[in-house]
Amino acid sequence: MKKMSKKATKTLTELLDELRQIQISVESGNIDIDQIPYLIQRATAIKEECEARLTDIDSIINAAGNKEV
Amino acid sequence: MTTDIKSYTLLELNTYIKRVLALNFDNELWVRAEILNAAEKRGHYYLTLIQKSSVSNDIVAQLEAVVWASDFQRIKKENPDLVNFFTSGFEIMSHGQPVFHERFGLQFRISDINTEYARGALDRRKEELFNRIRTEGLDKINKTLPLPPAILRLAVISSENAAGYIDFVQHIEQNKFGLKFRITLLDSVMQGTSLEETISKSLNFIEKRKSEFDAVAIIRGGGSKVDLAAFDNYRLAMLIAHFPLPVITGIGHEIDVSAMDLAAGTSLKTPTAVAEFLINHNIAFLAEIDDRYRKILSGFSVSILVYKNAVEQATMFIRSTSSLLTDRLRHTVQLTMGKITSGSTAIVRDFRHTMQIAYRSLQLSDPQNILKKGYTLVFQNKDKISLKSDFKDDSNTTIYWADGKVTGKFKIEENE
Repeated sequence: MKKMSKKATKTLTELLDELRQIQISVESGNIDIDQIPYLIQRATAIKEECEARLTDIDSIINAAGNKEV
Repeated sequence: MTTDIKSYTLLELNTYIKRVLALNFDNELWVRAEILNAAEKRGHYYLTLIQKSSVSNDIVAQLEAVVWASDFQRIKKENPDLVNFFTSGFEIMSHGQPVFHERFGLQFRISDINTEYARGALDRRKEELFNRIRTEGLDKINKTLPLPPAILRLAVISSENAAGYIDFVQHIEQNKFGLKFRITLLDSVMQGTSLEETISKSLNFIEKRKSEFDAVAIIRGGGSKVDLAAFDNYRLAMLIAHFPLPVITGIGHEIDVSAMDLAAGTSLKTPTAVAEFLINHNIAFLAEIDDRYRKILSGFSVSILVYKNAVEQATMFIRSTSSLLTDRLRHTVQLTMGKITSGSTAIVRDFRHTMQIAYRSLQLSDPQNILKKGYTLVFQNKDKISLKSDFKDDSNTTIYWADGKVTGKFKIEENE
């Protein structure tokens, strides 16, 4: 599996896809032992980023959202 | 000339019309009509009643009508949702009397409304609307849009002070999982005749900023069947169906769906149900991430175990192989050494035997031993004469016997 570069602005869909790819590679057994540390690190980073995005976002209740209407 | 023509003043004419009308309509009567538009002023409701051609849908009759505030309050006591019947497109059966005012003209004064008829008319109208939506496939289009894996940025079309919206926000903010959402409220009128216009504007506002949102929620608290009939709106259903973002509705129907629900990607009963849906959707996403992560770690553990086993087996193989090789080598060396030892002994033995044979041969071929057997050796001038033909007469000749020699000149005499 080719090493993927981390993009700062990946969407949740892209992060989920990346995690899926890592899982597919792992489960297929088609993985180089040298890549394991990187892939574990990447999977952990994706998990933490997803959790952070769902729990750390500021809740903005914008009651004037349609003032421009 | 003009003084000879009989004429009336406008007031005389209108007074005459008023009298004729009053004589012919001395009692109230029930009239079925559709509301074209409705307006409220100081508690009075002014309606424009129409009838459309069943063939061409053109307006074939039209009449202004009024419900005085006092009549409105009286009817409302038995029908709390009366105001919702005064909605454009609604068909009503009203009880009243046509009156003619000299200045304001003809007007139908409504004293009662048959709400059962109106509800039946609503059902018929709704059925026709639903058939149209389904025939045109508007109930399927928005449903084809996939929801993002997690919904974080939500545009909400609702009324800021509506109980339904307040419940929704409270439910979202107090979720036990600590999930956060970015909610943008598009404050909109959620009932009555202006509902279509304000919701359309809100949808247009969101569409222009669609990249800023993951989904749209249209929410409203509960209400009666008539109260919520404004959501049975073809234009709004069409806008929702073709909307570029997934639309989630929670319009407050407990047992029924509106046209907007039908067109939405996801239709839920109440605003609280929408909040629950969003929370569960995002929790499901986190659960999926967690599940995949665990499977990845588990997969890596298996891989590492496989590698570890492979390395251990390889190590064992190398160890056992090297030991075997050493043993084999040692054995080979021993064999070789044995061969060398035994081989050298044999060589020596063979050599000795050969030497003995050679010695014996040498002994046998010793001239002295041969001479002892009675043979002689003949030399002429140091050349050994083995053949008669080589013998030269009268040449210095030496003849050897085992016990001595004779030297002289000899001549061969031929004698048979």
